[in-house]
This record gives sequence, structure tokens and C-alpha cells, in this order.
Amino acid sequence: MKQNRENNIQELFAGYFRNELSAEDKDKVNRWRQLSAENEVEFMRIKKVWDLTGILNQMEDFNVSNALHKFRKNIKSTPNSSWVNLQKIAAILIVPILIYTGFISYSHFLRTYNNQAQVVWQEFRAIPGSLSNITLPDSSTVCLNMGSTIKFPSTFNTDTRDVFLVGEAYFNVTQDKDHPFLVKTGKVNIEVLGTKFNVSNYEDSNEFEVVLESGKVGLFSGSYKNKKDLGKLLPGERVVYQKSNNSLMVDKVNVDDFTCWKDGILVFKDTPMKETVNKLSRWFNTKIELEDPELEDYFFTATFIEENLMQVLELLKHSTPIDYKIEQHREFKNGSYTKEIIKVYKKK
Amino acid sequence: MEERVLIEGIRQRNQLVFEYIFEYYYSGLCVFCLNYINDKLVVEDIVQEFFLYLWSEAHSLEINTSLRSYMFSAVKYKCLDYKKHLVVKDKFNSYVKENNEVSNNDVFDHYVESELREIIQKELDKLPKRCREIFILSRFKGKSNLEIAEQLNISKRTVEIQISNALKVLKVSLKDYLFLLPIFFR
Repeated sequence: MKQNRENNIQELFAGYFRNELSAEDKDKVNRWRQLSAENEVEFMRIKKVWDLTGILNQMEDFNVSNALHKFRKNIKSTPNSSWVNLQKIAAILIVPILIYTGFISYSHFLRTYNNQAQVVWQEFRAIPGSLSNITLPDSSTVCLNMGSTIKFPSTFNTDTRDVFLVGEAYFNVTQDKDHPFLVKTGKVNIEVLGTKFNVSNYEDSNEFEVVLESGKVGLFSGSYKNKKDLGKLLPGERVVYQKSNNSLMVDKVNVDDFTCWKDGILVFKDTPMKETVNKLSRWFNTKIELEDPELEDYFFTATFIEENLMQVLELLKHSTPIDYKIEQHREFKNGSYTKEIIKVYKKK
Repeated sequence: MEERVLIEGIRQRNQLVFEYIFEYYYSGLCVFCLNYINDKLVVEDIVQEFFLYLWSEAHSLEINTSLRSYMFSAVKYKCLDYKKHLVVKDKFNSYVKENNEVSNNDVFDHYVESELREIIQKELDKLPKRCREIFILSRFKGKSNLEIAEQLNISKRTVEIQISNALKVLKVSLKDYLFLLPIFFR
């Protein structure tokens, strides 16, 4: 009977799929398949079921949680994988601090750019205790933090728009694809592609930091023509370059925490006391010193909007293990004088 | 999760979304890649790299089709790229031998583990106990008919019958998944 024979043939399928059949049985199956289109369809349907269960079996062989763990590790170390391992290019960074930082060699700039028509280099310094808002020749705007200096030409008439920065500034750069905007700060320079970002390049700090609000920036070392790309930042990311051990670290941050200074808001988030004191010094244009080194690694979190220095110090005294003492300014016989100094020490 | 929500989550580099799609598609993508590169370790590397690529290019991604077809075709191209760049000739030759029927035009189905498991498990649970046991030993533990017969102390014939029954039942209940290409009558 046909049904019986069909049953018998179907019992051979599993063996057929596994290639375990004798030549004779294999032929039986093949001949049955060729008998009619229905037979062939039936065969293919069963084969499909066979394949599907095989696929599920294969899938179970892959350890998803291990792979996910690996993925998590990978995204933590390189938020975007364009970052270069600094160790590989350490040779290039051995170059001593470039003349772009500080106020040295003003004439060097003139020499370099003198062949251009009548370009005058301007230097702006934000007076300690105040912010400076500056518009650059290409309509880009810069908010300079206190005590910071920016240098730029009266017109941007070279291939690249170069500015030099010491200190901290928040940039809002107009887009001009044909003329890359470069912020020169020393070992690590910034190439801007129409964006809003914050640069922190203080001389007394071990760290150089860039935080990107929107758009895209790239970091490079060396001259622009022979630049060595260090990586690109995406919005919401911060890169920190540690001068002491020549390392780059990229992480995701709340951008507002790093740019609110331009609105007069002072933010500390798990900031070590040493850095807190430095930041306060600049902000209030007062010399503040940490007397006890043990305080250096104490982490401080707070937001100040319109408090004056005394109010901030009082708050610190009540919420952290510090106390402070104000030393009045002293005038010397030769006319020089010291500014008022505030000494911060560990509470007894 | 709805695809539109997922795509937006990817664009914003939402880690939760990334982990969700990773867990959802990982094994399916790996098995899919095996069609092109018959090496489990290589395939896992390719899929891992693809997810990292997705992460780093998240903001600039343009997904015009469904997320599912995007993932599978993107990973397919990574496989083809990998094959193109194989430098070691020996390796390449063995791939050629194993995959001599795979060309750029071959179409392989896109399956996701959780979906497949749900369907198959449901239908397997409907089978009589012994039938299911035998089928699992055959299909999921990779045992040959002879091995199963010996293990369960039954005849090889019984094993064959039981597997055949299981297949018949599954064929009916999996009919929605049996997207068959046109059959050519030989």
C-alpha cells in the first residue's frame, strides 16, 4: 500500500540527512522524491524542520553571556574605537612642550605668518575673576575662563584657522570644511569640525581635557600637515590627557558639568581637594593653598551659583574636614606685595 | 521591543538597548555567518566587531530597512569582506572547498534563537515523551540512530520510526517557518 511505503521511506529521512544510509536506501529515497512534485515538497518540508532544529542546536553552542561581557569591556575602554594606543606613538610625544603654549616667541608667529598680507596677531586674556567673550574673525565665539589666554590672527587667511590657548575656553566654532579650525595647546592639539566644546589646558594642571557638546573634534599631535591622529571625540564624551604619564583616557560625561562655568556656575563632582582649591583660586582670583597633603585626595561634590568666596569657605568648613585661615596681604619695603592668601588645613 | 524604539536607542548609544539587541541577535547572527565562514571562532570575532562598529558609528547610522534585515545583511558583508582579505592561501582553499556553493547571491534565512526556541520547544513538548527524548538525542545531542538505540536499549528501527514521527508532527506545526524557495521538479 502506498501509505505504508511512504511511511517506510519517511523513516529513512533522518538517516538520509545524517548521511548514514546505505547506498541502496539512499537510492530508495531519491527515487521516491522524483516520483512527484508532492513527494519532493514533502521531502523539503521535513528537511527544513531538520535544518531548523539543527540551527537551534548550533545557536545554543554560542555563549552569549561571555560575548556580552566582552562587548561591555570593549565599549568601556574605547567609547569609539578610533582611539590610538598612546604607547605606540610615545616617540612623537617626547617632543618638549611646543612653543604654542605660554607667551614665548611672539615673533615666531610673525615669522611664520608674515608672508601673508598684514595679519596681526591678537592676544586676549580673561582678567582673573572674570570671563571674556570673544568673537573670532570667522564668527566663531569663545568664552574664556578667568586667567586664560587665547591668541589668534586678525584674519584667518591660511589653510587652517589656528588659535592658541592657555587655560580654559568654551568654543562655538562655525563650520568651514575647507579650513579646519585648530586649537593649539601643546602636545595634543585639536581639530574642530563645526562644533561646541570645552578645552581645559591649565599650566598648573597635570591634565589636559576636552569635552565635546555637539559636532565632532579630532585630536592630533605634531604639525597639522604631518599630524598623527590620536582619535575622535563624539558628543557627550571627554578626553583627558595626563601629562605625567603620557596617557589618554576617554569617557562619557554630563557635558553641562564641564561647561557651566561660562554661565557663572561652579560645579564640583567627586573633585579631589587639590583640584577644588585650584579651581577656587582661579575663580575668585585669590591664592588658596592646601597646607596638609593628606587633604589632597579628599573628594568634594557641590554646586555654587552666586556664592562669594567667604560663603564657599564656610560651606567647606562645615561639610568637609577642613578649616581655613586668611593671611592678609603684606606690603614690602620695595613696593612689592603679596596678595591675600587663604590657607586650608585639616580640621583638628 | 518595537523596532523603531530600538533603532533610536542605537542612534543614541543607549547601552541598555545595545545589550538587548546583542543578546537577542548574537547567536542568530553567528549561525548565519557560519554559512559563509565555517569557523566558530572567526564568526564570533566578526559579530563582536560588528557590534563594536555599531557602537562607534551609532550617531551616523542610517537604517532604512528593518533593524533585523540591516543587522543580517551588514554582518553578511563583513563575512564576505573577511573572505576577500584572507591572506593565507591554505586557509582560503579550505574555505573554498567547504563553501564552494556559497556565492554573493546565495540567500540564507534570518533566524533568532529566542524565537526559534519558543516555537520548537512548544511543539516538542507536544510530542509523546519517548518520541521527544529520541528526537532530542538525535537532533540536539548529535547522536546517531545506532547510538540512541544502544543507549535506550531499543531497536534501531524504533529509533527511525520515532524520529520520523517527530519530524512529521513538527512539519505541521512549523509550517509558518517553512519558507521554501521554488521547488524544481527533477
